[in-house]
Amino acid sequence: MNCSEFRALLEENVKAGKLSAQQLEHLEGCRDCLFAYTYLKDCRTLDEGSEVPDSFKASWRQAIIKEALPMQTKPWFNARSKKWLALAAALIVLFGGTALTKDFLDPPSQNKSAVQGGEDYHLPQNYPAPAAGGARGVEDAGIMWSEAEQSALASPPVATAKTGAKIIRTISVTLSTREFEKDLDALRAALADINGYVEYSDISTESNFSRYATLTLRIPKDHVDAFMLEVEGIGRSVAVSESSQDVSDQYTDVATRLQTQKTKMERLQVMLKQAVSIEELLQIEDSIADTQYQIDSLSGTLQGLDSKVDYATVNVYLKEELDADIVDIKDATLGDRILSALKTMWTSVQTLLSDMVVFIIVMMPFILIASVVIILARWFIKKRRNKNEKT
Amino acid sequence: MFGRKLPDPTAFEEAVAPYERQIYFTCLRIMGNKYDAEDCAQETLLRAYRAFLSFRGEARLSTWLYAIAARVCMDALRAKRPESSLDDLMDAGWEKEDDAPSPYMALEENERKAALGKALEELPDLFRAVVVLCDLQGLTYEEAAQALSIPIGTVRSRLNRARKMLLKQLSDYGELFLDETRLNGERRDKDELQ
Repeated sequence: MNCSEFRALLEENVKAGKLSAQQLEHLEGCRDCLFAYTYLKDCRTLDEGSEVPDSFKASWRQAIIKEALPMQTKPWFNARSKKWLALAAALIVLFGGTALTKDFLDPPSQNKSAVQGGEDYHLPQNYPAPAAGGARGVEDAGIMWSEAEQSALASPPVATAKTGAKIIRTISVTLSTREFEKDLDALRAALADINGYVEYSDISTESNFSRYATLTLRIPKDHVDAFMLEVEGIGRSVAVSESSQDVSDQYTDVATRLQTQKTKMERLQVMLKQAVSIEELLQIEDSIADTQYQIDSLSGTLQGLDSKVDYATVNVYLKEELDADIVDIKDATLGDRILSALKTMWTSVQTLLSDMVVFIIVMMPFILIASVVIILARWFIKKRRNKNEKT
Repeated sequence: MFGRKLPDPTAFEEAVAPYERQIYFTCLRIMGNKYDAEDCAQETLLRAYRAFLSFRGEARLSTWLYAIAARVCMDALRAKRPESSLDDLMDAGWEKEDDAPSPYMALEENERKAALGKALEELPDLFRAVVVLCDLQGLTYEEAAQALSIPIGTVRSRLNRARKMLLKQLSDYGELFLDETRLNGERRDKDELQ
């Protein structure tokens, strides 16, 4: 038997564990084949007599049972769902964070509140409807007013002031303009001409990048009509409303009560000089203090009424028109409307994407810090686990 | 992601329990320590369980399990340490050329196996894997190629090189007795071999 023949049967011989006489004879004379046979036999029996650890026997069976648990009891938070959950969480953080922080991250609006008043006016969602005092119809209002409505809305009855009557006039006017800056300047110029003043001013930018100005103007009562004529020549008048409040009775009442208190004060001053005892003196002084308080309060009320009567309040809402806004629905075809809606949606998408970019950039430092912390924590835990396994 | 079908655990256990020992010792010999071996063997059986329904029986169940075990072990080894170039190893002068009798042959069976186990640990990962599958577990070249996802020629080549490396290790007289003791704790004298 030669080496090739022996090697061809080597596998079989090792499996069988015994050799024929011929094979033994060959091995006695061939060191290489003896080595190969011994080596292979040792390889095949290397782990004979060694036991599989009980811990392993138990652990893989438990792992299989755990893996086979029904979906209801099995935690859904497995490796695969982790990725989807992570993605969902990231999207929620991105969209939610963008929406919540949008106003915070936008540049601040130009709020020029004057010293007096300073009431907060919330930007109306729609243009203000005609008030109870009457609404003036608009020219070129387009989508806002139909011709029938325009003719029906005649000039509101302007409050005819009785001679000596105290009338508080409040006017609201909404204007639309394509030349925002120019018209705003025109308003301010008209105001300056008649010695009026701005009680409150707010200019902000809407989501579609159009600007919106809210102005509360105080106009001397004798110049209100002239001012309103000027205003109607600015931009496109969308809505006008006016209300008048006759406070004559109230004014008279306050004035009378003030006079009464003043008279009372004069008498108290005389009585004070004639006081005999300390007790009487103290009582009179108490009365004087109360009376003075009443006088001050009534004077303040009277001054407030005078201010409102002498200066009418004109609320001006000036809205900037963008090209996409100009759609006359009366004549719009279905195609026009779809196109307009698509343009609006595209603008919204652009806005959302730009807001998202701003949000991501602003959050970047926090994301980086969180990433570093997580990486360090995972490295530390892994190191600790390896150390525990080795010990 | 949800609703993955899994086989009956009992049926799976019955099917693979006969190979539990082989899987464990395959992993032990490839990984070199019992902790990694347990982890890899458990991972092997877990992956086998998940994929059991897709096993069509084209190969033997043992071969299929060995394939999974080999993949798991190689992934684990790759994660632990980068592979050295096999070309470098092939040029390292591992081949024994002389005809001197190997001291390995003079040892008793227990001592030979201890020496063989130590020599196996010294092999590079890729070579050790083919030796474990082919020489220890008795897979054919085709089965080992399938298990390791390499060509048959590569299996033959690596096995050949690995055996030469082992021969060199086992023939190195000095290394065998450097810090080795007998399995029963007694130190063997050099003179006893001659």
